Amino acid sequence: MRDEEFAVYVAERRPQLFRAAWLLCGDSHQAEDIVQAALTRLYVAWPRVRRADSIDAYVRRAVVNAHLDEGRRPWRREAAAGEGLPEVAVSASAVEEHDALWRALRALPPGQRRVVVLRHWWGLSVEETAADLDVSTGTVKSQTSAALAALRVALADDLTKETS
Amino acid sequence: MTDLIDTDLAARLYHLSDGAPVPTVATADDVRRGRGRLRRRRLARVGAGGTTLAVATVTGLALGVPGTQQAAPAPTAQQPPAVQAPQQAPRQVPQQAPGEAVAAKVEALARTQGHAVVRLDQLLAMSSVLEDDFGRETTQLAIGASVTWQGAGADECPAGWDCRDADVADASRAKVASDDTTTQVIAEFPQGVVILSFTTADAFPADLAYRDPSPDPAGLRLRD
Repeated sequence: MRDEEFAVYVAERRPQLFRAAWLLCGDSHQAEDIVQAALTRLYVAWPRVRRADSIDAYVRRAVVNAHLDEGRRPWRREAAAGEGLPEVAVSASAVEEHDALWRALRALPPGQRRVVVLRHWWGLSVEETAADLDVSTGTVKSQTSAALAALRVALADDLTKETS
Repeated sequence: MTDLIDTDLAARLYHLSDGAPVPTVATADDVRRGRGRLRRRRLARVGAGGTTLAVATVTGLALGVPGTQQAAPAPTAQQPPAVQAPQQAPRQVPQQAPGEAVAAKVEALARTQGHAVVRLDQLLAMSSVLEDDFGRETTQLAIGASVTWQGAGADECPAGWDCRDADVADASRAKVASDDTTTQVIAEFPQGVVILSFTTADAFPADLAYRDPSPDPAGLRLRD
């Protein structure tokens, strides 16, 4: 029963988890490592999290924790500038916009990036983000503020370069 | 651009992530990795944090051996044989590859017994049902057996217990019963009905949900 239910869940949610991991780490190979680690943890904990009806929350935290673990590894992969940019066919202006946001996101410290992804991509509240990251709500607020300020500057600089 | 950050960051992140190079990975691969990790955890639990299982198994076997009754008094039907927490029996766990070493010890002892009731992998399958609920907190563990499912009280759920069906490999049916301190797993294998009892209390409660009605409740054998 565990295998069947787990397989159904993975088939449905794996792409979303990969996208989240990819935004967090900026590298497709590392993102796949993160997703595999998170799903392995989920499989082991499946009976408990299923009974608690908290599968999404558990796997989201597992992704974040796996990203933290990846960051602690001495041999961790650092994405080169431009690596892993979106591969879908998009218009030139969309590419520039993607590119600017991608660079700005990559330039954020990992902690701020996690807050941005949890709050603005996953749509969590300050309290939920604090619980996922095991930090205070004050820390989430300050990191969100700093991240948005940095994104504003980075994207404004990018816009200036593009128009000059 | 500033306004975009304030108002459209989520939308832009979604748009960006839509372009992520999502790989095609077979779901079966994730299941296989999960199974592997689960198997390693079970072995580690038997060998390290969960030495109680192997120790209890050895104790259960010893209780069934003529001449060892004095060393290990037979328990009552309502109070299955209990063993102490792992830290109180450290010498029974080898330093190297503890899980495999203890399992080998159990198997060697089982061979000297001559006949079999339950296999070690069946016991591990039963314990795995509880691994998310009970881990290192468990202070005592006991193994019991019953000739019939009904005789063990598995068709009932006593007041104060929370009972549910469980999925145990190789068992035709299995259930889990829990109260505030104690959890029991009962499983019906082709060889018979086996009961695993875990508690975080200092002693098992007087009335357990599933009970071993036989006069020799510890008469449990292992086989290859």
